[in-house]
Amino acid sequence: MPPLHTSRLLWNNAGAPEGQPGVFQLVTRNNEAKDLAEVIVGNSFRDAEPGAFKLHPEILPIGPLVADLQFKKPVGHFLPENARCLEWLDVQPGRSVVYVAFGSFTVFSPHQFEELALGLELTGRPFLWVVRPDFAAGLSKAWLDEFQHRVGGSGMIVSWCPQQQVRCTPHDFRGTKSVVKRT
Amino acid sequence: MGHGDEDIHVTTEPRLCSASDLPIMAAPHVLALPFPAQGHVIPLMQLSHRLVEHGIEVTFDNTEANHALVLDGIHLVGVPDGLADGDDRKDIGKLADALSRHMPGYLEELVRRVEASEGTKISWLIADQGMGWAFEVAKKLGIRAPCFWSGSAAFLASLFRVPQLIQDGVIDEKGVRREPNNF
Repeated sequence: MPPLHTSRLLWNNAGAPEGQPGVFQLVTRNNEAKDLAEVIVGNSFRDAEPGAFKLHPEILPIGPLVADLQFKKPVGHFLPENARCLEWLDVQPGRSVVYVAFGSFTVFSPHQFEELALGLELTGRPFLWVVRPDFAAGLSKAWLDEFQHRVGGSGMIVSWCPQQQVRCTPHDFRGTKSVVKRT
Repeated sequence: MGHGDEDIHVTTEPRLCSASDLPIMAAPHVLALPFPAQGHVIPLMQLSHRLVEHGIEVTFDNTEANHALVLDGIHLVGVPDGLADGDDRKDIGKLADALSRHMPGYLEELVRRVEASEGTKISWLIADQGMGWAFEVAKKLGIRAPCFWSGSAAFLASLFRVPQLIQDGVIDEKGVRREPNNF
């Protein structure tokens, strides 16, 4: 299993610092409660992370899970998915697109948002960025409009996307955490 | 993927076919309980679709707040999460605390209600690792309960290692790191 810095542990990355003791308590309580379960099944597979499965062989891999190979069955997306991004991806050069998504809980400050936006612009590469309606409260709409105008056809911002389908396009999104997300 | 109808060969095993076994031979009824966050709901919904493919009956239990957000497909039911309408459901500590205090009672009631209305006994509760209290409910009700983890094995391992991290002095009993080191 790769090394993990203590700052990356769950309770150090779950909302505001004052919530950390509560999240840590939850972790320790769930650690004890899981002993009541007769088996632990995980949405992963051995070849993806042999070290972790060696460390905890009691985790039975049953992933990666898909509802159906055609992605037709509803799987409980909370937000409507924007399928236009699939058509947009289809016309981008292969392995060119930067995919940016932070799950369903993460929020950014307007400052963080603007920094990331400018960084994406600087890469000069096409990007698909999932920005939930509640992702960056307080962000100036005028600023965002101007940014979107500037990046034009090379950057696409959607409020939610069909992620498994996005990841099935030939773009090889290396380095994202989105194959098996956390929240 | 085998279809449920192809799996009935077990009924040809005489020792499994006594009259007292007949209620169990009917399609098993599974209650699926995700942690109420997007990245937990989707994988468990995906697993539920696969179980249905195998002829298993699935009731999927969302919190009411999320129940309104997902599409149909499986028997969907919702129970209160213990938070008020305007509360912040992205505050994981607060959400988890409310869940563990209010949901055990609702879950017991739900099991009774579903069993009465569907006429089948719930024989399995597949609960998210983040809903540890649910395994206590399952034990109390005599329901078999596997523990479902929606993300990577490495992340789950980082939670399971908490006792050792404390023992090794990497973090204290409250989860605060003792030294700026890695593990």
